[in-house]
Amino acid sequence: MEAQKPVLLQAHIEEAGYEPGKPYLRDIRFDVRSGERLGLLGPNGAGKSTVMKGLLGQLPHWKGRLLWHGEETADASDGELIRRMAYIPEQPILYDRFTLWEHLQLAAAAAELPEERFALRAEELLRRFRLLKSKHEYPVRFSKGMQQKVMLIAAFLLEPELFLVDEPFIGLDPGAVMELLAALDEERARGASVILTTHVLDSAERLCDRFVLIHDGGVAASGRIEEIRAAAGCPDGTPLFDCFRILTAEEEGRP
Amino acid sequence: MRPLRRFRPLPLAASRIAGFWLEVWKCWRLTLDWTVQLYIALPALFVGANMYRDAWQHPPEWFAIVTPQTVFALLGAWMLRARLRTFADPGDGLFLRRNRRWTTKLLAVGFAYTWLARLLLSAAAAGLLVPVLDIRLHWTFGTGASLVAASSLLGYVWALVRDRVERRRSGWSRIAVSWLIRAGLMAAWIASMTAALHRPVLLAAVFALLLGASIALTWRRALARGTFMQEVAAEDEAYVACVRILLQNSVGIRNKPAFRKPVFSLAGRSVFSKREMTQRIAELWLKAGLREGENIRLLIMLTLLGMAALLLSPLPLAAVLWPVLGLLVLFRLHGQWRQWEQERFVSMLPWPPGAPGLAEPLARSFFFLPMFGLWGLALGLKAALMYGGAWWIAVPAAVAAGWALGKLLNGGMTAFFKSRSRKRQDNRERSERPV
Repeated sequence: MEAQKPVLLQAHIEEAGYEPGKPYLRDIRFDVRSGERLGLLGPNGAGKSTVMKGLLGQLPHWKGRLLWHGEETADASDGELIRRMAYIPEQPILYDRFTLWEHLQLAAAAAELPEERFALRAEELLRRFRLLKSKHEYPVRFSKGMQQKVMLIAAFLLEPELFLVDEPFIGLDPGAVMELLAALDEERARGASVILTTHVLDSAERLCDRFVLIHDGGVAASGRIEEIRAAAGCPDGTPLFDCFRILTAEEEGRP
Repeated sequence: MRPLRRFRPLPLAASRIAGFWLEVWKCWRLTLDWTVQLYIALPALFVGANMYRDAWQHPPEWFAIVTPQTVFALLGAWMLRARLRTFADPGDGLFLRRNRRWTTKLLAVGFAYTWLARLLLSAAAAGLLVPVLDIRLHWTFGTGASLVAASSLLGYVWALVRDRVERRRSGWSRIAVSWLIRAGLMAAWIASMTAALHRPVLLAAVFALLLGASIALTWRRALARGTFMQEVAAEDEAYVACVRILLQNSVGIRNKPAFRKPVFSLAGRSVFSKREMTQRIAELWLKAGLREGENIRLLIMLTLLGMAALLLSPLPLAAVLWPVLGLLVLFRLHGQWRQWEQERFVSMLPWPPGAPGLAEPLARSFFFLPMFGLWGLALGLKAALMYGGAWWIAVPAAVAAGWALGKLLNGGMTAFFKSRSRKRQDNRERSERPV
């Protein structure tokens, strides 16, 4: 059933990195289908966030192909492509002279969202993430979790086709995680896809449809949980955590 | 076990004072490279030293209009810039602030530093004024020294009063109360020093009053609680004051103070009734600009300097100077806009091609047109005061012409900035193309 969904993005990163001649990522291929959640997993420094930066066109050195709905885009920094994605960084990025509402106003203006629609949607999201009372306060003075919520709300406001979420669970309280998952479910129903990186493997296993295990700048394994288990040589029911441990240990040459 | 030397309050305070000035020097060193030192700083020093020597040898005519009150006012204004320094660090909140013994000693160093800094600055100012004090006013060394000591105490008292006001008030009220007290202190200072000049008993009374106020305020401040946030904010402001010129065009040397509530906020209010994308973006830029105290201070200063330049120049020259000043301000506002566009949050958003630049002319005009109109008013007033009669029509005419000319200049600069940016883009693309 899932296989019938159209492919939204096909990525083939031949090589990419921060300097020409020193590729950090090599031969990474994956695709994301409409409404699908793809987990980019891997140990620290494996290159997960670098893959995201590559998709956003932020890497100085990039060689590869991106097919959006089957059509090749100019490159990763193509203006139209960027407008179809929303990036939620691991560290909240905020402007100290704007209130929470103004952050959202600017995001909505960038997305050319009409003001009436923006106001309705923003109020709804603020209520959902329990930030309505703080809408005229300055987020630079918020706690880390609240700042992360600001980033999430700004991304949901844009109604993109693809969410790129870097470590979404860091700093969020359990209630906020529940709200995030519910909001992502709604976005999935709309047809939006999610690529997320995380270290919280238990949540990833429950949340994602497919996985790409990145290790040392390349793909160590990819596919559904069953395929990951098969790649790791684990029996059915083995948690993703154990598969991850085996696959990364193999890559590092440890038994 | 005896703690390590640097983890005791006094050496810690000393290292913080040294660290602060080292950091300020490092910032200035970025600007004062050897070319600036060789071609600007050294010649300026040489010229300044010669002017000072000339003032000794051939007193200029303007010495005749200097009165003792001018000297008191200059020194008073110099001293009424002080703030209480404690060299508090945000990290102190973790452990150090829980230890009253440490806090008391660090605060004592802060008091001593604040007064000593005032004393040195006052002595330096009096040193610069020595030709006037000696040749024009015929003051003795003793009179000059007592003036320096008294003004340093005035600075110290003001620093403590300012600290108290800033802890208790915010927004407009903080600014208004500070300036009212400043004005009151200045008036009292000039009046009392004028009365005490050449009257030792009265001078002693002024000293006793300043000393008494210093002791009482120091005692109250030492007992005050909940002062940590104010101390950290004051430290940030002191740093910004030392490197203000460098911070105008650079982001991230050190975060500007974020503790203070902005004076102009306009949070939750719409500035434009039309709500197209252009107006929405311009409004947000405007609000961000209004919330930046440094920006407002600079704009007010530019407006006043421009008015002074126009009023003091001959009328034909002022008429030429007016649009030139306008162009300079437009360049500055454009730079500010570009800096805002590069803010991380702004640049990470998925903007349509060409936006948010479309909103720039509208946003720029919000700061520019009132300033340009005020300069027009100054020019019109100058013409009216010079020629009188029908020339008074020049006042409203210059304001109206200022509005129209300002819009014209803003539009012209928009076209210029656009073509310049297109040219840069073409050059970049050409250089990136493989040969």
